Amino acid sequence: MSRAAIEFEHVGKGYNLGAYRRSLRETLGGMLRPRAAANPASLFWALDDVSFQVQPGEVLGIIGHNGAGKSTILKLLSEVTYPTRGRIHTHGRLAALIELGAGFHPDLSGRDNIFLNGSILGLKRREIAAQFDEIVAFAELEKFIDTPVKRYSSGMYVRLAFAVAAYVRADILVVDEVLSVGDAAFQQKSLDKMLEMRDRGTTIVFVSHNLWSVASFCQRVLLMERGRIAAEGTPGPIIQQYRQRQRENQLAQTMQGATTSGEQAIISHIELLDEEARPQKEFAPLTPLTIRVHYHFLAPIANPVGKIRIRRADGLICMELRANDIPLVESGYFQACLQPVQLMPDFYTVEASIVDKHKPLVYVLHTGETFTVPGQLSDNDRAGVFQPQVAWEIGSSRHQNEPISPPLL
Amino acid sequence: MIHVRTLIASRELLYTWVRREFKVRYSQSMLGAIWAIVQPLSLMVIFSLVFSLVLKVPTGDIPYPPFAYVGLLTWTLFSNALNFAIPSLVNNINLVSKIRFPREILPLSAILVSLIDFAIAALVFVPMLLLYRVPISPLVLFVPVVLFLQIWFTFGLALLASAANVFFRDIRFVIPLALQIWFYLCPIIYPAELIPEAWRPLYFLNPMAVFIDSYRRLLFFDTWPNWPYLGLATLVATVLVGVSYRYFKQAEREFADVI
Repeated sequence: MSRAAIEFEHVGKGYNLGAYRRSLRETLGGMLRPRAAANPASLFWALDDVSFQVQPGEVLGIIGHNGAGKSTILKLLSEVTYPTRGRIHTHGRLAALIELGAGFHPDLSGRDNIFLNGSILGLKRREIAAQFDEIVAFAELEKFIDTPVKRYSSGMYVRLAFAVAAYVRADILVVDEVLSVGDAAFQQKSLDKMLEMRDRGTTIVFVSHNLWSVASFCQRVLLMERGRIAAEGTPGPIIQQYRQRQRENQLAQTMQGATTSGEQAIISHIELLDEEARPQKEFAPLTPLTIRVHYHFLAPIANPVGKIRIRRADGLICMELRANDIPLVESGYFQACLQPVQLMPDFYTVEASIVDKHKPLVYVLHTGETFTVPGQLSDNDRAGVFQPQVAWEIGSSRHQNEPISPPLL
Repeated sequence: MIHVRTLIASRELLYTWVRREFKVRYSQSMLGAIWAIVQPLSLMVIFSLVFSLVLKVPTGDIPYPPFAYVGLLTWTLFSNALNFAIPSLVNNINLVSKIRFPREILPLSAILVSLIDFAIAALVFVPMLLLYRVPISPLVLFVPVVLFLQIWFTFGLALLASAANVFFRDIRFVIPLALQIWFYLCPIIYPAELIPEAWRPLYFLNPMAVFIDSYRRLLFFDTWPNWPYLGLATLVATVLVGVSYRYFKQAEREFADVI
């Protein structure tokens, strides 16, 4: 039976809310009998019944919202703190790169800190001395190695910390978002180094919000949510799940936002219709979407103009449609037809308002309707909002002046 | 015990840390190494003035200054060690709360650096003895043993108090006060013979009193220490180290959560 490099068995970590106070009597009693369970009433469970294994040489990514428990797992792994419940097993030398400046003493120089840190990680002075020049070269800190680290910038800190961890030849490397402190060149360098370590068989646990690097680097991903493992598997589907949940949460938040009814007009409801005027919740990118806004005026309005905004779940305004030349009557509806929708797969909200044609006055604003464009949520935020119709073509470079045919609908 | 093995395995870290502590203590002080001597020496001068001129304390054949210096020197070792060891965990929050290592290295290093101070101050003792023409008995070779016992006792106290200090921050303020009182409960500026016989067993329950009395016996009076009392002090120190080491290792698990 092969031994897992890391094993979490029903691990729970609770923190006392409020001021920590423990009487001397309690402590003395605790030494004589096994540790009694902490008072459940005032505990905050940062981790709740977490179990997983990491095989030697595997690269595990951990993602999740802030406060989900990712950093707690790392702290437990590096034995900075201990579980309230459950057990943790690790096999091999573990190097942890968590929290800026961890393991560094500010008054010591970079040189002294390399020896200190290396020593803490289990290396002998001889071994550290042998690799000293390489460490300094990797960190690119030749000029500053004898300055106290309290004078270092955060980028220099991270470079030094990573250099020591990289050359320590650990069996397990635990890294969190601290890497994002460095500049792009450093991030690339450290990722390359970690790839090297991965190829050498180092077990790596990687916590990051940079989903792209998690996807490209990790073989398996854990999705943490509120102290529990929500999902576990290969990067693609898990990241997809994560983004879906993110969007749903964001949507719920936007829904709680502005729904004002004005004193001069009311928007009663918004309908989202397909090409056969049936209400729908899902619209494929290449199908038409009709937004029909039902309203009535309470008092006469001089120059009313209907406006529709479509926002993506994270709040981005994807488009704003103003019916500038369409006169609005006292009651009825105004509608816009997008033919076709041309939006990327995601969750969207529709916001309708009646505004003044010339003055920046909003008579009424109504948010409420949501719709989805189904499909794979993109892994990369920069993949775009708009999905246009595009016609691709190839040819030789000699005949360049021929007109380009418009895209076919 | 597994903890002791881990500690021994981390001896290089201990060495690195002692070096660092030493550098920091001396680079930050104006007097530097001189301070190690000034402290006990100045106390000795004051007490000499008061107790040999003003209040005439009987010290047998031994002149008052070296008589007092022995006690002051070893007491300074004790109190400095504690004063540096007790806040050592809280002062190094960056290391204690963020990375794993045997944290007893911190108070232990504080004690070892104080030992270096002691060694420097002890150098002054030699010319002093020559000056006062005090005969030294061969029993002086036993002094390092008693010294070791004193450090052993200090270690036990330091483990207990430094760990407790993490949870109850006011301990570092209680200690100087306690030490001041404790000072007078030891035969530093007066000989133990001044204590009425009936009270002596109680008096010598205090390990520091036993140690200081032993130093003087060995150095000046060519007498072995009082074995029952010394044995008791050793026992007290050993039990203390055992209990406080266990407490320390258990409390250590929660330092990161509390500090």
